[in-house]
Amino acid sequence: MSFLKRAWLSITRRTGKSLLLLLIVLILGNAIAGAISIQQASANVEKKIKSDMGAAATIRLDYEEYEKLWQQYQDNPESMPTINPPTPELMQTIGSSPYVKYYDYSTSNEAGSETVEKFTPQFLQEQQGMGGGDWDKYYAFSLRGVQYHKVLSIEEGRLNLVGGRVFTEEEITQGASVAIISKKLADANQINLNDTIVLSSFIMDYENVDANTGMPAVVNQLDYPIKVIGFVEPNTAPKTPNQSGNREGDKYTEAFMEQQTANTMYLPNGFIINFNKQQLLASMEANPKEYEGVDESAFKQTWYEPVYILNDPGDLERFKEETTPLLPELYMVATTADNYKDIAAPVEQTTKMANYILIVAVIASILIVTLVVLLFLRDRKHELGVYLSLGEKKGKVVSQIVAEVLIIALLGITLSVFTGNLVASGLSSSMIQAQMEKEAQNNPWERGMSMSMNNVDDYMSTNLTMQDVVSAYEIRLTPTYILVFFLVSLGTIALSTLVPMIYIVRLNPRKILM
Amino acid sequence: MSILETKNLTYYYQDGESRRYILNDVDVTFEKGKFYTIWGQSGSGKTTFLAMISALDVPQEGQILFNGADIKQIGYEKYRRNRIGIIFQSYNLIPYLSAVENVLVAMSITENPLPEKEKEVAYNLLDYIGISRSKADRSVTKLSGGEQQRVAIARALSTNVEIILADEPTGNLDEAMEQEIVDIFKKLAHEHDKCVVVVTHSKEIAEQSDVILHLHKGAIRLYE
Ligand SMILES: Nc1ncnc2c1ncn2[C@@H]1O[C@H](COP(=O)(O)OP(=O)(O)O)[C@@H](O)[C@H]1O
Ligand SMILES: [Mg+2]
Repeated sequence: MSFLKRAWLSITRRTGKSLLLLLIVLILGNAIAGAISIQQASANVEKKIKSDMGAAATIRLDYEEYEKLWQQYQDNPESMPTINPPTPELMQTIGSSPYVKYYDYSTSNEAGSETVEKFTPQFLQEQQGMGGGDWDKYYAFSLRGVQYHKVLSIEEGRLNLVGGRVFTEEEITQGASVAIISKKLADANQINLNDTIVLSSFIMDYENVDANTGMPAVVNQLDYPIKVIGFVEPNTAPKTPNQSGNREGDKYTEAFMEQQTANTMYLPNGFIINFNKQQLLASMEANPKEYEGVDESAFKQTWYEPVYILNDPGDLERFKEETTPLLPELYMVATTADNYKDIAAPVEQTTKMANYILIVAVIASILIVTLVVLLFLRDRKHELGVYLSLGEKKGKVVSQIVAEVLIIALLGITLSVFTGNLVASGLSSSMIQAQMEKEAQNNPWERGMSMSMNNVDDYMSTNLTMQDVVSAYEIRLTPTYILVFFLVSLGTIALSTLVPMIYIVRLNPRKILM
Repeated sequence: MSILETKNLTYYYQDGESRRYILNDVDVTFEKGKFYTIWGQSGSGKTTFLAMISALDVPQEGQILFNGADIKQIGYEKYRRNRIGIIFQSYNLIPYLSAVENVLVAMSITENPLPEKEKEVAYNLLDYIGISRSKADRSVTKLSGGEQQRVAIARALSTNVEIILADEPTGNLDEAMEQEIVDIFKKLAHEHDKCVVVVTHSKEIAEQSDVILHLHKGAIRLYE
């Protein structure tokens, strides 16, 4: 009659107490298993969605901090400290981080043209009054600066190079007058590779506005002949039926995006810096009143928007941590993962709840199981005393009790693996649904397709929606879940047997039996 | 040749500054083949004395020698599992086990060499003590007091020990039953050469023993 046999007989013959303990373990085990299921599911969603979101980061002004500063100096804006944007050198230093696959930083502007006509999609042409008239001519094209000569968007596969070539390193360093433009724009204007097009900077006199059109008078025009060296096309992923817009609003959004993409040109940063400078000088000349007293050097600062593409979305947090201390005041690292919080709110709320449940359930389990086992042991004081009086080692008496608790607990825990998972699926889907409805009330605009207006947004924004997160959320019986649950629950049971063990070790058989 | 011996055995309760001696310098020897009773009034320290020689409690001073070796050296636990069998007034059987299983528990704890067919031995032992086979398989909670105490005696004997210690073993039994149990103790001492030490407050039982150790005011007087 080894202690294990005794444990077994005790479990099977004292069925009432065994079942009671099993029931307690089942209830608590389900709470723990459910909470861990939810945690695991949301960890999986986070990993999947964040990896779908890509691994891009940028450095930008911390708008909230800036707003605070601005509030602070509201009454005397003159003494507000100047903002020093990160220098190209700093952006290069950051770019040499081992997490970075490649990076670019980009300045931008808009330009018009006398000869090249802005591309307008069919859908927008059919709409009445959608054209911007003369504005379309003066600011027809977005100029995007390029520092990484292979062009980030092409390397990243967002754009396909369908003709010609990318920049050479010399063209970038020299700020040469060369451009990569969209195939759509080229086709619409019959532009061939190596053709020269002329972009113009139109200088307005804002004092002199046409009463009929509302247009300021053009007082100067700076022309820039530019050689077209390459054609690109956006690499649009085929859309799933439910994504493709049936609604009118979506069609507009799509058409605007098409228009924006088609009218974007890629040029060396150096070219755009010069373009900006000439435009500024000419504007100052044309509008002396407006620029009165303004020091020219104040505008010398070039604002770049950097984009860092990391090797792995999992590195984003570390990249952020290591980069933040290098940044100038008021600047911050923003990453694609930041978007996750916005669209994952229902899942995160549910997970938060699951975390509380887990903590409460573990603490409650330790207390309850400790108490129940102690109560059972008090009932069995004489039995334990008998073992000790027969000369049984205390270690074996403890082992018998631990074995009894563990056998019952293991049974309860194993059942909970499945039932807890089921409970979690049912519970979390209704919890998420409730959270979704709450979110929808707080924020009636469905997040989703965002118009990309500049280079950085292309990388930083996401098409993924709350719905995507919720559909990716799935409670499953994964090995990790099973492992984590067994570790947590067995750990909990182990902790629950601590006090009973002490109780046994301190038993005095003489006092019990004589 | 003594099997068990106490030397200067002293046990007291500290009561503030003063000590209340329960046993004071007690020297006694026990031999095999004899039936001893520890006799005295209630509260005279009989149970305390038995607890000392059962190694369930430890004296403040003095020694207990088993075959000349201090039981402290042997180890109290080891001494209990290999050298003695204890019988209590309130039987102290394990309630969810059958009679034979209760005996088997003790047999599995001792390190003494036992015959191979433990269960057969347990049944035979129970039979010898007066528990038939059908009762031996019954849960002990379904046995009478006398029967339960027999199971406890069988349990004490099952580990092949030479010393049987009992604390008021018949305290919960009627007179007829009491005599049957006392007869078993006599038989164990005289026919099986055990050293049997029984604590009792009953004059009738004490008078049937070979040696009466009268415990009074912390001292023991011998009546042979
Ligand atoms: N914790 C204690 N503190 C002080 N005295 C005690 C304590 N426990 C028992 N006693 C006393 O020890 C004496 C011996 O008790 P015990 O050995 O049980 O006597 P017996 O078995 O002969 O009735 C009794 O007088 C009792 O009152
Ligand atoms: Mg007593």
